[in-house]
Amino acid sequence: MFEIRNLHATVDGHKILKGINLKVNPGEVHAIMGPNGSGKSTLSKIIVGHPDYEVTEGEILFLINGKMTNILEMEPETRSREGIFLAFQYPVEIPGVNTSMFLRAAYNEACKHQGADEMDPLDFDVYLHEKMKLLDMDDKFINRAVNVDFSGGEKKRNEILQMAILNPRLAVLDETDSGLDVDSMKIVANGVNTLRTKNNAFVVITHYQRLLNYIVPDFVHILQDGKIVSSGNKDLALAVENKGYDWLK
Amino acid sequence: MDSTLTHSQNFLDLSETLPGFPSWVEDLRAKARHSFSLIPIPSPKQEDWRFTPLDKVLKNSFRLSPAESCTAPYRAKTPLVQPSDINIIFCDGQLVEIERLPEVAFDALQIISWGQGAQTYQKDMSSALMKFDGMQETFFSSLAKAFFYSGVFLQVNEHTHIKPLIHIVHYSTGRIPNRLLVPRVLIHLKQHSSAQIMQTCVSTEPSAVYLNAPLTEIVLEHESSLDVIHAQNEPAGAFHFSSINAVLHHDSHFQSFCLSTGGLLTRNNLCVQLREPRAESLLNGLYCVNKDQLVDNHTIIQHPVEQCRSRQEYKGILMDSSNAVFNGKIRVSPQAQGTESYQLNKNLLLGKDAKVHTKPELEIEADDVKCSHGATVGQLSDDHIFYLRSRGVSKRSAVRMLAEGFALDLILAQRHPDARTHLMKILQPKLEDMS
Ligand SMILES: Nc1ncnc2c1ncn2[C@@H]1O[C@H](COP(=O)(O)OP(=O)(O)O)[C@@H](O)[C@H]1O
Ligand SMILES: [Mg+2]
Repeated sequence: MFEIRNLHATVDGHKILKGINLKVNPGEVHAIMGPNGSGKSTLSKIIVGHPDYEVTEGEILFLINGKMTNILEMEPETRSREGIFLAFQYPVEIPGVNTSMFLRAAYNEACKHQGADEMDPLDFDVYLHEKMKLLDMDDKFINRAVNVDFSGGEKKRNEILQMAILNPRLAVLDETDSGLDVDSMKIVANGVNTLRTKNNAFVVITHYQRLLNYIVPDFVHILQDGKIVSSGNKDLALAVENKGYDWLK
Repeated sequence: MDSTLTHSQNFLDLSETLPGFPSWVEDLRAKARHSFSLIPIPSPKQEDWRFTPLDKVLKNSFRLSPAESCTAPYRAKTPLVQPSDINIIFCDGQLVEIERLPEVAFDALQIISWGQGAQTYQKDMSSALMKFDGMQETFFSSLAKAFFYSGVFLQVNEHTHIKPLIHIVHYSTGRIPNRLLVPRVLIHLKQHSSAQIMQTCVSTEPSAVYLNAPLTEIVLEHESSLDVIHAQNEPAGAFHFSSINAVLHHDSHFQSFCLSTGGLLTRNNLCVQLREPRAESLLNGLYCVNKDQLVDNHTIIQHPVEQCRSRQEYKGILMDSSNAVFNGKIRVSPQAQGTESYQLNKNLLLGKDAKVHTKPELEIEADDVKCSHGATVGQLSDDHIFYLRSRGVSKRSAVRMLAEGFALDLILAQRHPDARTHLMKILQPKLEDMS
């Protein structure tokens, strides 16, 4: 349902991604690990169409209306409405924009795009609270401006809440576990596991093997210097945890 | 009368005979005409008008036409205005209706036309008006004082708190082209009283061209508290020159909010005098304009005595090639020790060709004072826009949401819930109207 082919990308003229290939099928969880600066966040932001990065070669295909379609020319909002989601490594604070209002607007945009009925505020409130319960979140999250005055951990949980609301077919989680204590990490992992179906897929970027005990990946890829240098099953994550990345070079 | 001919020959036709008022008001009007004749027509050569050229105003001729009564169905086609509990309706500059709740007794809150009030409440009105003697006149406040022919007097009794929002709505129908409107509102809060008053200027006709120069005068007796909102969404070809003058006695509290979204050219003059110790004023404003609109806010805060506080925060959203001017004068007299005065003007430029001229003017002659001012001109953050887009919100909606978020705190700071609703009803469609 999702495939990256020979992806090369630059930022401000610097080559960051140097030929990435990745194929994701429905129902799968892929983990991507790699040292700082190897290009993990760059890859995730390119998937959702961040304008700072220039793709110089390759393509990203996503299954849309039964056809694998190159999404590189698509606007970020269209990719989202088609079901691609990124939980940002560093979610921004947006003063003045109320979380629940914004989420309902976003949700309804996706409904409109997919030809479904929009949800009215009351129904949406019920739906929202259902998802908040799943992530053990209270009303203070949604009554405030997006991420403003949230702790690092709260911001990460807010990302997962948005993912739960938008219910994407492909979700990319960029170091969602960094900065989370063990309890919060379990809540997040439990949320992800509850949302897993045979029709959706997850790409989980992490530094720590720890998370992968809770979200068990089908595949583990190691990204180094803009390339995937090794792929394997969950044992690869354990090996990296013990030996570091250097032996893979 | 003769001395005003110079102005009449220009862009104002002031030749019509005005309806009569009781003689003490006639005397005031005659005096005002004399003062008016001495004030030159604003031009960019005057410091106060440097960035607000009046060419577009001056090429018209606006006519005072007091004899034309208002018959049009003024409430039609103005979805922006919802009825409130107490409504005072002006149509084309004339007071036409006062609707009030039976629960609010007349001896608690007096609402009466200027003419009738001048007879029944002469003492209250004339002593309130005397408080403005010596306050600096501007061209447009002076014009209104000299040529007003309709208005309303509101007075809140001692120890009385009026809970419902009092909504003064100025409808313009544009039925007669190029009218000059000079409605006058006098508000008097007696000691230990409070009220919340909103004025909204709108039109029933989007193509109407007129010049609206409303004058609002406010006197707060000691320990009274007033929230005043001045909102205007005049049509695209109209001109709006508002004057609000307020005098505050000891321990009184004044909170104002000025929302400007409409009109080709808007100038709001707000002058607040904190005349006795421990008076406080909080002056906020929001302007949101597009295309080739120009909006200019000039505020003057006078601190002649000690221990008063004033705060100001004006925010602007400028779309397309619109222009804004903000000028905030703070005058602290030598004896005004212990003064606190803060001023902030923040602008969000959404249009490539939008421009802002912002200028604080602090004249501080006392030494024990806390004063500060600041101004910012910025754009939306690309990170914010991208974050919202990555969730499926279109770029346009993201910009609108963020712009609304920029302004929202000032609207939420309005204490009356009806006022917040009215303000959002005016602001939201304006934010949609971005090219
Ligand atoms: N917007 C940007 N501008 C300049 N350099 C960037 C930008 N984004 C990423 N980089 C650079 O690209 C490299 C990869 O960064 P990143 O994708 O954030 O790595 P990771 O997420 O794996 O730690 C780093 O050297 C980083 O400095
Ligand atoms: Mg990263």
